[in-house]
Amino acid sequence: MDARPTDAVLRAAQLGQAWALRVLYDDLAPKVRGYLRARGAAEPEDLTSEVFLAVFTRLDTVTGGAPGLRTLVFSVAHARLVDDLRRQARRPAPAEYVPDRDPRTEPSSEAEALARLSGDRVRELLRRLPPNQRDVLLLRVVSDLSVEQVAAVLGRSAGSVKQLQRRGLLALRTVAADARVTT
Amino acid sequence: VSATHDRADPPLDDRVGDRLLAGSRPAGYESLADLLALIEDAAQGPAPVPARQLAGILELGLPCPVAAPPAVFPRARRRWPLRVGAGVAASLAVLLSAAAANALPAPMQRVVSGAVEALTPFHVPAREVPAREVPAREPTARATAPAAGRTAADPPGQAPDATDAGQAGALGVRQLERGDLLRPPAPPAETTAGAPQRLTGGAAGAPSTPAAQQSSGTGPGGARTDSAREADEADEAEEADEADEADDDRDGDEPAGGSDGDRLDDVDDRADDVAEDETDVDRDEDADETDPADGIDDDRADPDRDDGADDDDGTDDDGADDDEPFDADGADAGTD
Repeated sequence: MDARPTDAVLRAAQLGQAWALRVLYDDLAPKVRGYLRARGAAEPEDLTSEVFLAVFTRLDTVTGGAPGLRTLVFSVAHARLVDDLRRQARRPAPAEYVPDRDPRTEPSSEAEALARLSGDRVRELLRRLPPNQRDVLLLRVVSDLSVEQVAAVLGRSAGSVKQLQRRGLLALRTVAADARVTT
Repeated sequence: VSATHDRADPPLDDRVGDRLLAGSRPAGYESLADLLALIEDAAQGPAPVPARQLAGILELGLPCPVAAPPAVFPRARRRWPLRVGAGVAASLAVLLSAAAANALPAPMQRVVSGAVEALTPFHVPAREVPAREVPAREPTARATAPAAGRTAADPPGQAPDATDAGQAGALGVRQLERGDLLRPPAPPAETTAGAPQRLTGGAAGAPSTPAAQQSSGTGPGGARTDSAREADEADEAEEADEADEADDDRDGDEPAGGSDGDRLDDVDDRADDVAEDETDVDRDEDADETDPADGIDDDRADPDRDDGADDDDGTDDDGADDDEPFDADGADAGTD
């Protein structure tokens, strides 16, 4: 059984085959969750399930093979993310207490080392970028989308995506230099 | 910080950017490449545990039930035939109840009665328009219908079209009664001139004022009722009797001119009797041969003169004279 979402797997998924759906989910769900988490979704796992529920009911509309399916998946994910961010802006969601995230606690050296590599650290670095540059870099790096696919997901032109990508990399290089100095 | 910042980093063009995003580590961009790798690693890992509905799809395939949007007002969709049926049943019940009570308008009553009798063993009475009862002594009883074809030469008790004696006759009687209450009697010279007036409910050309209807003996509906005909016959019988008595009185002490009420009654009565008087011209002429002082007709020669019988009951004595020319002309010869 092919573990990668190829065109054959996509055709099987369009026929409703459970194994094909499982392959698609196992391959794309971590990336979707990473994208949603890096962009600050409140509940990335739940939002990921909603994205795939919507995608699986629209599989018959996918064109362009596996790349087309990837574009559809992240288009839905981006739309759900925007809705989630707007919902958070209107009503701050209550978050349960997590001792590791409490800044009043004194982290150990080992936990601090792990935090540098964690998603929270990445999200903290990415938060210094403008949102549109952050979206382009995340979709290019995490989702492994081309410039044209990112343009389709964000509803922009390819030239605009390239411009945002270049500015985002320059800003991220400055952020990386600052992070290296501060650490 | 600024001293540690690498100001000697090479410019970042699109080609270098594509290489960095593809996962390579170009020289001079190591820190940026490490940060991009950290971002990419943050998105790796096992797939999250799917939600319950999604887990069902992943296990059974797409035909497994997915949460479908609820149907819109399913109960309302089921109930609308019941509501329509209840409304129709209620309407039919009201209609049949009204028909059984004979309270529907006549056309609808006939339709409902016919339908019920055709479809069920029950009998629902069909309403008929009753002829209006008219008092025998009222002047409106003389209503006839010249527009429907009746002329003055027709017999007084015969209608030209028997079918007109129903609703149209009743309508004419009603308007006559209303007009009698509102308007005084008009002079016969104006009403008998034949100028058509605006009609409210009758046929074109039929006189509408009460005086005109009275003078011509017609009603606006263009029909003459049976009760009117009976009243005419009763009037004529009484007039014959009273005329005999009046003529006897006139031979004695009748004044040269009557009162104002006598004159009005005379005007009304003369219009009614013009046609009938004309039929008696030959007899009057026969009488004139024996009495030159007598005119063609007594009332034409002296309209102001009337007997005392009209003061009390308004009967037409002159009409009685016309009906019995033998005694009247002979008696009037002395007074003229």
